[in-house]
Amino acid sequence: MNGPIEIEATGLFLSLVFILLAGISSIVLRLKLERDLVWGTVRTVSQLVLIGFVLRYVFQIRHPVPILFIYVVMIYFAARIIYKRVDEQEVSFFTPTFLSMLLSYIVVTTLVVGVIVRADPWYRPQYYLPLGGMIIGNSMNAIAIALERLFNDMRTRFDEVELALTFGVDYRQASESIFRSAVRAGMIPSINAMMGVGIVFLPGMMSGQILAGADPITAVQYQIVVMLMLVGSTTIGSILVVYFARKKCFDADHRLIISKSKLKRGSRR
Amino acid sequence: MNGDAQSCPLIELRDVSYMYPDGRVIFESLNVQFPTHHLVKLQGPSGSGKSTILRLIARLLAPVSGEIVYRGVASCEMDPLKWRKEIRYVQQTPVIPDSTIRSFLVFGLRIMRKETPADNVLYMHIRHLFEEEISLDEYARNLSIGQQQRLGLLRAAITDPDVLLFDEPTSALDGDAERRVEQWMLGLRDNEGKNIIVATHRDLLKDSDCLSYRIDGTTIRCDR
Repeated sequence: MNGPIEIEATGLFLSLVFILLAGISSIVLRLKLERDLVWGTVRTVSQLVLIGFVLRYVFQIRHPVPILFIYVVMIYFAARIIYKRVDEQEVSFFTPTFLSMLLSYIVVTTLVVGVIVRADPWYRPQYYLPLGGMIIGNSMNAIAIALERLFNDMRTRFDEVELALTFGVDYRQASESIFRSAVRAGMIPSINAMMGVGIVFLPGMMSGQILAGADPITAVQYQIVVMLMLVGSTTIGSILVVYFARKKCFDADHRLIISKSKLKRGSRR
Repeated sequence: MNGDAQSCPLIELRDVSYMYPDGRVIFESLNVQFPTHHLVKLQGPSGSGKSTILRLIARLLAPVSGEIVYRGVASCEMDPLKWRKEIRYVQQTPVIPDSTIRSFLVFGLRIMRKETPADNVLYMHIRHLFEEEISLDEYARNLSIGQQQRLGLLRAAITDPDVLLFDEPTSALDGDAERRVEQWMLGLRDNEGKNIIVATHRDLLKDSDCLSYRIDGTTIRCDR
């Protein structure tokens, strides 16, 4: 197998034709997207060039600590994105979310890179960071969905949870079915993806490997591991996050902290 | 429980202050005592905080300051789950499960892992509250709101707590059904020794032998 065909500078320059096309359309149709197109192009090129050089440097690192540090930073930003997206004012769920993600992702990534792919050393950045990135990207969605479901159900089924509490059961028993449905909501997309893969869509990673000159069967082997690993990480991630976030919906006396109707941003004093 | 449990009040609120999540203060340094072996009527207009008082007593809400005492034991000294097994709050609008009346009624017993009674015992309970015939196999969501409300009261009472806190228990009932609920509550007190606190803004238990408390701004006073 040959390596990938390198794109030359003229080729890269030529690809600006697509932006030019979009720009002309925007002017002709008065879409008012010219500024965004220019800014977007500048950002795409600069961000990717920057990350290219960073990765070139990072891939030479031969020590686990900086690699794990980079991974933790990536997870932190993912947790921030989830935190903003879920938009929950009453329950402070950032820390449990971040810690659960940290734990589950590091365990799954290390297992995949070290034990399944058998990279040497186990933290080999060319494998650890891209695979880890895929885990984050995928289960970020799963966790956001699971958390949204959890908080939403806590509100819509508030009376039901309170009813159970009135009989003196603990918060776990009172919110058992909400816990289950939130975890399920988080897991279902990655299970569904297993059904469609190869038929409905070719995953980006596999396409990338094939473009890079890998044998399709090798690419498929990687993709199988990736699909299964994503199910694993969304499962562990969703369970841990929902488990700890649910706890935050109650106080130490098994009282609901979350109120029946959602507080709007900034309405809390 | 200590030796002078008989002489101490059933429930006592000591300097209790409460604030809604949005920051509105509803009670400040509230002090009130409810005696044992009584049917207590807690009155006040809508929004005066009747439900809040009941929820505070059941420890479903946390006071900002102050403490709640049950038979001489302060809330901080008693496990909240044990507390709620003795003091049962009953929501105004009952949660109706997607099931038969039988499983509706035994819901509390089931989650408390208590033995569920035979059908004839359940029918006996139902007859206290309903004039009409009701089948345990019927689907609970097919009942009228008033019927569901009465079943909600029954669901709580058959779990045999020491104190029952009824939140507007007759809000969906007509006159006749309301009289039946009144008689049933008096029976619970006289025959089964239950302590009952009823929050209502209606003229409930008008000529009955019960204690009447009224929420007056941020204080509660006993009328009789």
